[in-house]
Amino acid sequence: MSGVPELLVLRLLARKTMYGYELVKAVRVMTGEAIALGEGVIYPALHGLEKNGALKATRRPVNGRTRVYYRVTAKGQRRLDRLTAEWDRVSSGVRAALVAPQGAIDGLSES
Amino acid sequence: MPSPKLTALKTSLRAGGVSPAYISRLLAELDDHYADLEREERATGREPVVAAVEALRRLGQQDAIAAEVLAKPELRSWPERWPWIVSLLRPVLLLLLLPALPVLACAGRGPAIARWSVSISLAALLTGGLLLAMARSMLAVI
Repeated sequence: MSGVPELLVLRLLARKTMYGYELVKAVRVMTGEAIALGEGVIYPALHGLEKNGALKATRRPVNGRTRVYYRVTAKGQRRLDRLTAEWDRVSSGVRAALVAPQGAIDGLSES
Repeated sequence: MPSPKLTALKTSLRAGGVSPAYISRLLAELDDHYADLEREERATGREPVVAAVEALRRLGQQDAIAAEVLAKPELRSWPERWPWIVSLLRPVLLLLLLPALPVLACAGRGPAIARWSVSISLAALLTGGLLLAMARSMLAVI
């Protein structure tokens, strides 16, 4: 599961600029609640990505408060493309292993 | 309900060498998140006290958040990330500071320093004059 929260965060923020609470909610809804991130833990992840230049934070006043909105930068988009390709490779590998017929596994010891 | 006091988180982050500016930012965002969670919980019909407890639970354990921050070196203050720079800069700064200390000590004390300089110069002139006169009279006797 390593890298999955980062992949989700980048994917969702590439679609829409969001603030932390909105983003956690989006992850929950978009994954059908299969992935529920620790809500407070999202901030170190966002700040780490921001420090690495993958995200850009903007402060906006909303109802007398200042909210921090995040969006994906060009560097973040490249990172997202790389993580997506990696995820596709791993998930298709796991899927292939799960549906492999018994004969394919038996054949391994014979060769 | 007032926002939670994230004292444990603040203490852990300070002890871990996270910069105060970053701690303030993180706490502000967590505070904002908590307010949204509490509002959401109250909107479902929960009592304010129950909504506050549930919001705090959803926000997560303070030590888990601290661990997540401390696991990211890029979120720590620069002396924590590059301690060798500090140990390299400290002697250089001290060497620069030592000669500057007397100058810094004199800064802002101009009139007093001028008075002392004039007094010492006059005393030196007087003493010099007296010594010169004594030397001349001694030479005259010889």
